[in-house]
Amino acid sequence: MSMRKTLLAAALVAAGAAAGTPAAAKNEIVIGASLGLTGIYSTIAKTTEVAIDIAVAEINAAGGINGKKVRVAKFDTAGDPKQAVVAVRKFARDDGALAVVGPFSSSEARVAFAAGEREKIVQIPNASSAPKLADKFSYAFRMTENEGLQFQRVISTLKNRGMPIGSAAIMYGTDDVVSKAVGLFIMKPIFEKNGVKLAKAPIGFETKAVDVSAQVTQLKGQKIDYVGLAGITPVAVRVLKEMRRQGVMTPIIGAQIWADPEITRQMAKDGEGAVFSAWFWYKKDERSREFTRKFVEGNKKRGIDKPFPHHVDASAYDAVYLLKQVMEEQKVTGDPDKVAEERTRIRDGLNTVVFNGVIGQICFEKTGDAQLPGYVMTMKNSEWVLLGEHKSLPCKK
Amino acid sequence: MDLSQLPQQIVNGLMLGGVYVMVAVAFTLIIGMLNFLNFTVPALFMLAAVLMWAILEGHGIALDLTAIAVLLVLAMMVADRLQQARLPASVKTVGALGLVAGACVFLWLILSFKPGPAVFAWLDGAVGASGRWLLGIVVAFATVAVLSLLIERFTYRYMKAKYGDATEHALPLVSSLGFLIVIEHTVISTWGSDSLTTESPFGNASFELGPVLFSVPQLLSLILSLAIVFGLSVMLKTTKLGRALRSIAERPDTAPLMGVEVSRIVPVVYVIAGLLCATAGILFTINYTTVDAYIGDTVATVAIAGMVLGGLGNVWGAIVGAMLIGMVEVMSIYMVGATFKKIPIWGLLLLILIVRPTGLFGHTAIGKGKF
Repeated sequence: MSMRKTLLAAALVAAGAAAGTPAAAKNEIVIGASLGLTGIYSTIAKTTEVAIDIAVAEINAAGGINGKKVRVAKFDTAGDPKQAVVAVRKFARDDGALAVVGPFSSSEARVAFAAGEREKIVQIPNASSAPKLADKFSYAFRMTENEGLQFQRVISTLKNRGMPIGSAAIMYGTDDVVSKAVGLFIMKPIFEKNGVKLAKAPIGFETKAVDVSAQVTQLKGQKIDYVGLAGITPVAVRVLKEMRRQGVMTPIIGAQIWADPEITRQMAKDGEGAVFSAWFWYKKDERSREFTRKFVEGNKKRGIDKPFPHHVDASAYDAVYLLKQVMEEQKVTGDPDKVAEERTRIRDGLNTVVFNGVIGQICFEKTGDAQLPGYVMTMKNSEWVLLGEHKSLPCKK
Repeated sequence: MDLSQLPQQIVNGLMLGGVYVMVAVAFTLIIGMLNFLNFTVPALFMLAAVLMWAILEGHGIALDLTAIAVLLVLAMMVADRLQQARLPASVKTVGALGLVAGACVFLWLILSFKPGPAVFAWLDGAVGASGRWLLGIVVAFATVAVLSLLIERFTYRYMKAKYGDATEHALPLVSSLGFLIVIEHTVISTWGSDSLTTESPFGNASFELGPVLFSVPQLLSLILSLAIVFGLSVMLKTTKLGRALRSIAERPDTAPLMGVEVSRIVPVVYVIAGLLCATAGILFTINYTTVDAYIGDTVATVAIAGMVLGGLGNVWGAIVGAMLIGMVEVMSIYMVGATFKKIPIWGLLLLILIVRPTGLFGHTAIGKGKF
């Protein structure tokens, strides 16, 4: 073999060894983290990674799980559903992971759940909230709250506080599964059920639209108390700014889709009076405040400026602690010879667990969806202000 | 459908068309001269918009990145001159090594000391935050201009030198796609994938004429866009540079015989197209105050439709096409809703192409064998 070929072979062997992540060792417990660190969810996925790292560091500092250190195997899906499938297969087959936090979005979860079911490994998405994604799978557990329940909580809070909501209009994203579902199948019936008069048919906008002037013009002249806005944060900000530009000063109301800490900066004074809900409130108690402090600090070290955690960050943090509790209850060892059996025990443990985290009390329904609390917020002086708190509902078993 | 909204929707359509105009003209300029669809147009538009945002918000890294981009292109140009110079090989080697060493030192200085924040601190102290507007415009134009030169080298000149004909291959298109991805992901890596918002210096300045609301910045942008494109059109018709550009567009093989230095004119085409993109990006930030890494893709897709509708390679065709597309988009949303808005836009395009394959104002000279 020539020198050149020898060097090439050596380089390939070295590259292979460097690229491959070792499977779980006997003295550690491996958890997979399926993150969209690049691509359309990259901003929020990076902070989710920080939340997971904080939880793992805390757990390891306190002695790990059942005496074993926790290691997180990370995979960047770039928000691509196909890569989310690759991720869960890699965690199950190559890394010896016992469970997975993620994937992030509903579009990823939709296909990764089927792959996880075949691999018999639990996946816990922290942001997927599209309806009925987990109910066909026994290894799928979503740590997010139902948009319908949260929106009902928003309306109930307004009524309880005597804030007028007699009429509304709906604007929704036409090309995003969750936005469309919330706009057409959640907001509309809930408004009608609560006696809120709808000014006109829901107005759609594309999620990637750069100009929404034509849609906002249709709101002009309408005498309404709120505009129900169902769209992901970037386009929600765009719609709100266009409303203000065209002189539509009506406040917006929503469920959870744009309940993003960044709206304090992005909507700024235009968001005054906006009402929405989240399943995490960073000022809830001392534990939430402590997590928030570490989260802001951890992000700062990575060059990310965040005012406080998004509720999906809190879900990721709690998901790691939830797995810890279940693994301890199920006496999971992380022994590579018992991986398949222990993965199923974790699934069984999640079906019955009641966990208290920074979010609040968490349990899972038969559908695989969690029951989480609801915190109804409003924007005042570019700050989130709590309007009402709704405790988690008990799980029907 | 509420007919009382019709006048306002017509104005909305015109304003939206104004956003597409300069991007469509940038596309048509490159395709008219060089016969390839330059995918860096959306990237440069987006980059200018994001840089404008970054400077307005005082992100020092924008200045550092600009300095690095300028450094890279200057080093490239000096290396080019060095290679062509009539000097002994040993002198060229020493010069090249010196150039690389100098560039590395400069790069190290920027990365180590990150002078951007200090420049902002000085600027804010000297002229106040309002000075950022001017700096934003300068930085966006400078960055896009030097990147255009870099792009020209790797999408056109390299292919021409290697294959003798840059457009007989799909390579310029693919390499421009590569630039698009690199620029988009540089922005995502630096500022994330979320919306980036700022305040407009005009606030919500607007005036009403009867039932119709006019946004001052949008109206000024539309007028400015049309004025710039009018100026470009006059330049193409009346100046020496314009004649050279037209001769290349008409007969690239004959142009050199008429004394046109093609290798010097092509970079100018790239820079002009880049500056049109930069102007469009800057105006976008001022008007919409919300940008992200994907606005280029969204705007360019529709601008391409406008360019094809107006006729490939025809500047005024691109203007009419882009304005028409903007109007059709707004009217579609107004009449049938956003869900179906793409059907009228692309349906109209198909219809026009069936009836008039060259577009509304196109001619048949666009095709193979340009270079």
